[in-house]
Amino acid sequence: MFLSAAVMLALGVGGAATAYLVHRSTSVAASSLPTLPFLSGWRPPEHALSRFHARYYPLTLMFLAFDVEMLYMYPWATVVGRVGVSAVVEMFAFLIVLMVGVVWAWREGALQWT
Amino acid sequence: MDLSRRLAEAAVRRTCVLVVEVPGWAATRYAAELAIRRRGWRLASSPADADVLLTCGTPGPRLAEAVGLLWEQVPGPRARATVTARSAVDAAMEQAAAALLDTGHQRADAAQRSPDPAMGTRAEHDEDDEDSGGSENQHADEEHASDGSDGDMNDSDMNDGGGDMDMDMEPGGIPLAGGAQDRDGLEMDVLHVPLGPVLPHWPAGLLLHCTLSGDVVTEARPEVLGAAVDAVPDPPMPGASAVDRLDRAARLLYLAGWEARATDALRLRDDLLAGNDDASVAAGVDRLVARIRRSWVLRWSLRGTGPISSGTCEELGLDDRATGDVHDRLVICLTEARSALEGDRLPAPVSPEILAELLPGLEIGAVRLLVASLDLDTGAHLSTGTAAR
Amino acid sequence: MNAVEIVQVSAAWAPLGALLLLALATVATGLDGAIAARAAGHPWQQGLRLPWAETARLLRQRRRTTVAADRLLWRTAGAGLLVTALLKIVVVPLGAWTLSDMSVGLVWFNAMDILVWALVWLAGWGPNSAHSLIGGYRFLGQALSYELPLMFALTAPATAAGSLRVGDIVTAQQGLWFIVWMPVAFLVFCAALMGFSVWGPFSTPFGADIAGGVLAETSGIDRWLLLAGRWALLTAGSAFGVTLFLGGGAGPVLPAWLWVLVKTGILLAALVLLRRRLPALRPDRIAAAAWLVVLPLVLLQVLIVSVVVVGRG
Repeated sequence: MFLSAAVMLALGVGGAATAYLVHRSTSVAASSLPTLPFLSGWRPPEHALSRFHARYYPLTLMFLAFDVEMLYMYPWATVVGRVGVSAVVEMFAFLIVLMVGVVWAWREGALQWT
Repeated sequence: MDLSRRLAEAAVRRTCVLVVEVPGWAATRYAAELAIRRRGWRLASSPADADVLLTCGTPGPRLAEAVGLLWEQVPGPRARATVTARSAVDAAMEQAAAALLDTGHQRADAAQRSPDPAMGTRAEHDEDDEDSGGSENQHADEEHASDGSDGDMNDSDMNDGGGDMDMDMEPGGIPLAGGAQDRDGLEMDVLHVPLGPVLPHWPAGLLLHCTLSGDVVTEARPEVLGAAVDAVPDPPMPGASAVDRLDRAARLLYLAGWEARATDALRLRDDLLAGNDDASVAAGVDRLVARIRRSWVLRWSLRGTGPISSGTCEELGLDDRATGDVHDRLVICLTEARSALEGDRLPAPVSPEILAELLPGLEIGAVRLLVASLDLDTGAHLSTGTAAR
Repeated sequence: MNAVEIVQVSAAWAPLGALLLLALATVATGLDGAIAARAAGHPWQQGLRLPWAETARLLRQRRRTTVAADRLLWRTAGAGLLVTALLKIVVVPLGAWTLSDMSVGLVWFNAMDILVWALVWLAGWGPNSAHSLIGGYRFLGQALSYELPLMFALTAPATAAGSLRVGDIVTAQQGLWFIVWMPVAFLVFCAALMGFSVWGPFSTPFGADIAGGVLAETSGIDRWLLLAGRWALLTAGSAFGVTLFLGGGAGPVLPAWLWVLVKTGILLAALVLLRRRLPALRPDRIAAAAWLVVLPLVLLQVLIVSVVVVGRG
């Protein structure tokens, strides 16, 4: 079952490797060109790799809450039909609580970062 | 080597051109862009994307320096051309295409390039650094020196492995980024990112010294890099203001990520330049405005972006047509193109100096849109890149 | 319509699956090129050649390495998008045949999708360039908005079928395609599909305003792999959308496998046409809409589906 996935992975990696090999012979130079990053024609005053201020970080926390919830959601999807009404009520009560959290976060300005 | 010849021929059909406009040579750039579109070529978004570096006009020393570094960043096959008149464009394109097709020449060019990256110069000009007494090579000014000590060791480990002249905190001869307090109360690194003079969909010659915290511009200092002193720019065109408005609308639409409508605006501009009947162009502009107005997605995506209040307008001496957000100014830009076709006089362009007031606090995408939405006068500083301070 | 029994075929067929994916992606780029060529005032036939011309150009072009770049991660990310797209189609049945009949096929697709987060961000981080870096982080901001609606949209068909096995989901649509009673989930899926392919209205991480963003420093084969990876993701996503919502191989006259290809082609064409009509959606703009409007809507969709399922007993 996962054999196909493994074969596909090998195909993808092999394909990319082949592409690189082909490129070595078709390109005007096999080696890559060492260069500064594009900065409108200037030398960068400092390296770009840095502690980048991702302004959406409050959103990431909220995302995490929902993401953990998905762990329950997938198994739940397979049993709703059998368990019945109680499964629906419980899951959506949980989701409503999470949504209340979203609304609260929105009022706190977490959904806007510029 | 028939295969390599056929590959080259196929490749040249989709040549990508990085166009540099020197202030004063807008007409030449229009002609170049028209030639590029006619050939089925495309404008490049960065030197990595480019095959041809085309300079329209005679750049002053600092602008020329920037273009020189960009030339070193074009991966190759590469061709370079400078045109200073509309009539020269087609021949330059032919030559560039021929140079790109010549695989032997391109291989030789690639082989003779230096194994060390071209370092260029920093955007901060000597004259501006007088207080810190810095020369071009002195990159450890106070800010970096003080931040170097608390620099993140992990970062420096990761950054190593590049250049061979690594110093402790300067892999590849470039210092690490330093931190600064931010409005959110976190200490994060800030980057000094010069925007311009060579950037797609950017006003000619404009250089914005930006300080970025994340993707938000916290400080911006505008400057204009001009043409060479003795150069003779394009003669004034008839109907220039309508052409200019359509060009700016196209630029705005590109930046808003709406290529289809941007192409419409460009084609209208080119129709006008080709001497098409004003009435048919005017009808085209009307159709474009209607389509833009109808798009609620565009309105939603631009609403409130790059706002200028009427108070700010007054303070900065802007025409009150600049009030509102980027979407408002896009519509006004097109309606102005329409009225210019009917012979109305348009408001004069504004000095780029106002950007220092308007930009801080905006995300970089919003900065780009705001800059494109204003009619900035980069031609007034035609000398040689004097700071617009 | 006779019920299609999904059977797992040997892994030796994987190359064919990969070829079909690439062929469909090529058709989509050709169509995109033809439409763009017409809009620029050229005959549309000229645009059909566009993917080939661009490939030839990038094959000739030299690669670049920026100063102090994180080379390993950068190149991994570049090739990774294409590999991810290939891994996605492992669970997509082509008519009656599937390469991998896992019991958690839907979750597999979702997991591959999360891989894209890491890959696009790394492709932005790798080159040590301010524009690319901003592009990479932009993508994460965008992913925070599309991923949750996507996951819930995926849950809807699973709930209706009572299974996470993709084959079961196709079988459950015999008679009534899920798009009919899950239109919201389908639309959300399509939007998210453009989101994880970083394409069309969701392409700001590759935006013109940051000099191509994630693409800003790449050239040659590195750039080709990134571009091809995006189209492959879009194609793989469309194929999965056909499987989940458009009845998979169900349809008259034509064999089931051909129906899957035809429907995928139609969905791709619709997306290509849609792109011309829409400007880019900036991540900081879509966040509020995604969390406050789209998320509740898709939850409501899942609620309706689960109520129907419970009602059916």
